[in-house]
Amino acid sequence: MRKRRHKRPILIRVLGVLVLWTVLFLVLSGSALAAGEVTIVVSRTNDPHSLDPADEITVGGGLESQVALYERLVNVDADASFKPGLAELWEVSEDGLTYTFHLRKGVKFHDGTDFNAEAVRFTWQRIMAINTAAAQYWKSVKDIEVVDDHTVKIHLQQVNPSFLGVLAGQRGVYMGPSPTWVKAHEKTPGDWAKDYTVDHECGTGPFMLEAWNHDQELIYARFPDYWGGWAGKHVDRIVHRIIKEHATTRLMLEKGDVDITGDVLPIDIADQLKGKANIVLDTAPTTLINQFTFNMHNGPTKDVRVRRAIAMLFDYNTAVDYGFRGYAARVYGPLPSNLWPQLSANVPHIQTDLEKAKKLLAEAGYPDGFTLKMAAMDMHNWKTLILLLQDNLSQAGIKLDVEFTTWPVLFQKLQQPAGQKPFGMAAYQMWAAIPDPVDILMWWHTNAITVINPGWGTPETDKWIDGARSTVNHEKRVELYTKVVEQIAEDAPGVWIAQPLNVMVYQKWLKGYKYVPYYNGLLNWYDLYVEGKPGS
Amino acid sequence: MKIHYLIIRRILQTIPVLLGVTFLTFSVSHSVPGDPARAMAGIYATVETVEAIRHRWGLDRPLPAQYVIYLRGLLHGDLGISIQTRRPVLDDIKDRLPATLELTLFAALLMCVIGIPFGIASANWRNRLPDHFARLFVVFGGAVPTFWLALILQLIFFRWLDWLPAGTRISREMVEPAHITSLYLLDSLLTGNMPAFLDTLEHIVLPGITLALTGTVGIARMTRASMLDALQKDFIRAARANGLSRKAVILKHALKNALIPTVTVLGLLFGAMLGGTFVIEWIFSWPGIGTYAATSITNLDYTAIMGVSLVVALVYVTANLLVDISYMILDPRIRYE
Repeated sequence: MRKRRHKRPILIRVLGVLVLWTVLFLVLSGSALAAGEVTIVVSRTNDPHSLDPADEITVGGGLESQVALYERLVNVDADASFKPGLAELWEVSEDGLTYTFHLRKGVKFHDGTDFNAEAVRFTWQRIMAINTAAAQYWKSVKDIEVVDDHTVKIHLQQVNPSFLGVLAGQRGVYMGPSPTWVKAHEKTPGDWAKDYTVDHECGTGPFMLEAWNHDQELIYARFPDYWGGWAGKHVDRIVHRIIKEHATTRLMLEKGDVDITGDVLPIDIADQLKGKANIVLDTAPTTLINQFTFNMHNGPTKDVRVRRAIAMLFDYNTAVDYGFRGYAARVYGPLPSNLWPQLSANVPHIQTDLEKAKKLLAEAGYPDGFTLKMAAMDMHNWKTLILLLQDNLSQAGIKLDVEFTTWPVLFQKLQQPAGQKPFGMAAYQMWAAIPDPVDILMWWHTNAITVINPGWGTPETDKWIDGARSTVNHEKRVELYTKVVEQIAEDAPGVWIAQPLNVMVYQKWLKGYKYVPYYNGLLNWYDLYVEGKPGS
Repeated sequence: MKIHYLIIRRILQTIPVLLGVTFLTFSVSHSVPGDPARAMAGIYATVETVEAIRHRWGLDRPLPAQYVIYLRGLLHGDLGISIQTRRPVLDDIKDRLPATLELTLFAALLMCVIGIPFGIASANWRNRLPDHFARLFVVFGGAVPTFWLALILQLIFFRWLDWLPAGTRISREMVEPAHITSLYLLDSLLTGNMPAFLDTLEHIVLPGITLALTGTVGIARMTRASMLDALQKDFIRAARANGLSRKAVILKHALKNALIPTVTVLGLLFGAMLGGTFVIEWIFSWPGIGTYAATSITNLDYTAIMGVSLVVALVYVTANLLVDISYMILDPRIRYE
């Protein structure tokens, strides 16, 4: 009995110490975030590969972070108009070879140094010296001339009518890091601080990288000296939370633990969140196109009648209604419907027509069908779309063997030269990242057959594409690109499945979100703010 | 053989094992017809850009040359640079391995704490209610797919009951414990940081249970079988005849003898768990080498795939060595020749 009486006070004492420890730690260490600050949590699937704008240009690989930390000279709006970025004004010389930019004054890099004309020149030199992902966007630049501290002239090697669009695009055109910072962090002189810039930054953007716990989260805090200032409504901190599993993201959104999805959720998961309290499903037209392309050099798909027949067998309405859950629209050519030029009425607008398709197949010598190989990536709604195609094609006796792979494997197949493509059909998504058809139609040049173009094109069509790329005369460009899209429609090198809508999921209390199709997958960080959040 | 001879011999045996692992993973990963340089550059990159990237990462060299370069680096403790993180693979693994080890050790602890008593109870009350209950658990645990269990646990304990977090190692608001072992539970205890300990515990419970379930079933079944076997033995009858209490007979005499096969299973399970954390880490956003490996495979990040395989192999070999050593402790008659 005595023993028992002794045991209880000891237990209570131990518990007491534990509670005291807990309270003390909570009080002393406190929360990492100061009271009253507004923090939002943004989900994303991947840790960035690199924060270096010269080396990483993919959404999912680092662009989502770069847009918080770095800025462009020029921006583009959803209506395709160009807006000032780090450059307030710009002029283009009459011959289209020189672009003069008047830079914004009072812009600072995160290390406190000034952003100026020399920094623009330095950015270009660094990108070209590192010569990886971003270099392709600067290849047409002959030289960058520093006129004065806030004026810079970019001289091109040849006319590039879409150059402003490239500078306003989302890949490879971010200014920085600061020259002083780069010099200070070079491991060996002249290495452009390549290694250090992978997980450090020094841009001019509204947010600075505060912490990066790999595969867990990235935290960004306001840059106090941001040229835009912090009057008005903004957030103080943004947390990029790495959540691999979309089902987990969904639960966290439902509970309010995630404010907005940084990556576009698979359409079925997003659709399940429709109508949930506090959740907004924001939809907007994209400049994306989901397409199946044909092998034009080997097998039955060499014959245009077979390609047209397959395009007629596909059930577009079901694809939109079920494959995209209604978040898409039909499209009739290789360009999205919100980009010029569009198909005129006198070229074929293919519709689903089983009988006509069977007739075409019989004419081509395949009345009983054949077997085709399909290369695709197992991602998002591709499986549904391909299963639908498989079912549609079976009605005409065509058997579709599908190989779902990862990106590197699909790329390896796509980039085989014409005549050696190891598939009859391939599935992938195209995207106009600038408000100019060149971004999609350049891939229909015969010299681009290695990656996206399945083998379409003639010297004549190449001439049209080259012509449209080397003139600043808009009417001429419209005329040439119209010829290209109409010839593509005639030759049916692909099945244009649909143009998906962007479906962004976020909490009702998050305001300021705006979708710009040319910045697909990226957030407008500076404009976001929180209003009416329960308990805030 | 004495323990230290055993350890030295095992360490020497590890060298060809690891060399074999590098050769196999190199051959298998490079035989996948993929192009990591193109994946890195994106679908819209020009051929020249892809070539530049391929050159930068040494992917344009002949395969035997790439392998020799890798082995040469390995001799200097360099596992190469990861294509996806652009950092040394060794640093990536150093950052992530503690999270996986902590999860695996926690799951192994759960397996022992739950599985062994279940096995003992089943054997002791054979074909009675506790045995039926344990059998039901075993069937359930063996039948449930891991990913399904993970999602259901999240749904119940995170979404509906709001008791436990859905993922990560520690709350953002929490100050991380000082890195001594990099195992948060242990470090927070060592530094007396109780809030961090409790917070880490909250975070590890769901992935820990998910990871432990299948193994717990194995441990419970193995313990039951070997306990039943031990309980039939003469020395148990002798112990009982000597008037020892039932508790003493079971826990002191039968259990110690029955534990040897259980420890073997535990050692094998530990290695399997380490390699099997992919799905669990993925669903619970656990920042360990499982998540790292899964991302590496989708990006065809050769050096990272090989680095993770090496480390998993090393842990597997170490776990088996520890099992062998524990045999000697559990049964002093066991000696390796």
